[in-house]
Amino acid sequence: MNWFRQERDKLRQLPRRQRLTYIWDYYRLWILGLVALVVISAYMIGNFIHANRDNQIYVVYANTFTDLGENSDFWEGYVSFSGADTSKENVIFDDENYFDMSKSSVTRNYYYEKVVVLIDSETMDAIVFETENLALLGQSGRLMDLNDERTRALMEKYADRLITVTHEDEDGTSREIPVGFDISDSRLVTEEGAYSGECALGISASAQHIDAVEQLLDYLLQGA
Amino acid sequence: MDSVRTRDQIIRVVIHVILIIMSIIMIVPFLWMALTAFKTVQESTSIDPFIIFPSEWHFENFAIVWENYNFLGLYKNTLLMIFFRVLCAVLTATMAGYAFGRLNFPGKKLLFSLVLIQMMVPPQIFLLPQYLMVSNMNMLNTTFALVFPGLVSAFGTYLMKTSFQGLPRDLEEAGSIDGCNIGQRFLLIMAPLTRSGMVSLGIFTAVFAFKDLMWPMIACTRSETTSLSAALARMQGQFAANYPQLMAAALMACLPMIVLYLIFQKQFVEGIATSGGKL
Repeated sequence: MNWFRQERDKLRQLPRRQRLTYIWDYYRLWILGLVALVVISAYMIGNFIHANRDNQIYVVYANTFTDLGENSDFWEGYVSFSGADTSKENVIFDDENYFDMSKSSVTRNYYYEKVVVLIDSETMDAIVFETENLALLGQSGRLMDLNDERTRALMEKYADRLITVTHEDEDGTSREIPVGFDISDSRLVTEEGAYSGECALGISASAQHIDAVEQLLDYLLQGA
Repeated sequence: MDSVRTRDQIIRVVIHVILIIMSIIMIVPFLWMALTAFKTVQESTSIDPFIIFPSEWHFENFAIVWENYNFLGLYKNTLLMIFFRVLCAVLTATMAGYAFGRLNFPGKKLLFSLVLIQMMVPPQIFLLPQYLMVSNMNMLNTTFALVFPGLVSAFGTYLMKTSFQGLPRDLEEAGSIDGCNIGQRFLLIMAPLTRSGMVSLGIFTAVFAFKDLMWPMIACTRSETTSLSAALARMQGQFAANYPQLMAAALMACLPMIVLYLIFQKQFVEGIATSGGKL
């Protein structure tokens, strides 16, 4: 406090202009640091206030050039079908992902790495992919086994559309595991033209919004 | 004597020819990008190697890209990301570098080893934890998310530690005798003397932030919050691409870095020379 009093007394003795020069000469780093701190704090607080909401659903649409993202007709159709309140929760249709699971270099593909992060962080709920690619992703263990009790009802509802992969257990026995639903006749193909051939929907191994995925499937397969 | 001079001249000519060829190899991709930006799609994908210049200069590629991709917003996001990453990296690395370079405290070697380990592992290792942290803070799709991985820098800490270690101990001792405490010694005596290290770190951080593709692609999926690099990647699909528009966008995306380079040309060169780094 002595230092503070000394400085205060010293400043009081100086004329205004010299006082400002003194402050700038001796304390400019502190002033700039303080200003930076205030700016960053204000910015952080602003970001926290306008922070994002929780997701209603997060779907990755891979290898399509059709606009299926926010505010597209397709997205709006789903929002109105599901009754999601987008002022309270996000409906994310991420349509900018391009990778080919059959290539050995896929693990170096940024989009693939992104999808892996989205799955492992429990962000992604479902992925729509060409059927072959989806099966390969399912083979890698990143999609939910639809026999899981959380998806069993859904599997039974769309039992005629199951995409399965062969899994070999440690004892050498092989079994078929359902990892996705064939949606080749869905509105994604017939109305949006997002996929030209076969396509399928898989549920992420760590999906948090399976009810919403069911709504999406219902929406996709309306009239199919 | 003449034969020695002739041999020297021949060697010099050979060296110059090699250097010119290397320069051409380095500059051709940039020229290709610049020229393709003015071509039509047909011209850009033509296999005729002699179509170097566009038959007509199509400036509309720039207008289309500007209209469709909200370049102003992308510039703003990228510049904010660079500014805050540089600010935070320089601030934290300078303080950490001073602590590791000049102070003695228990566990110093162990802590510095932990910093070095971060430089040795692939950056993908940090993606998931960083994503979870930002996601749990509900800060995805914000400028904060873009800045987050650059808040601290292991490389910066190392660089600043070596900068502080290079300063004579007498300066600090003189400060102590004059009554400076540790904060004053750091802020008023030592930190200003490592300005060249700070500038090098700032330039490195700015370039790495500008080139960062993976993180913006994951953390900012919305076009209004993402950076130039991620927006460019979105323009190029796996199966098809409009090369002239893509190159027009790439050329426009390069502008901030070109301007930055022109302003800080001297510091760029000095930064590479002093740190021995590669941009």
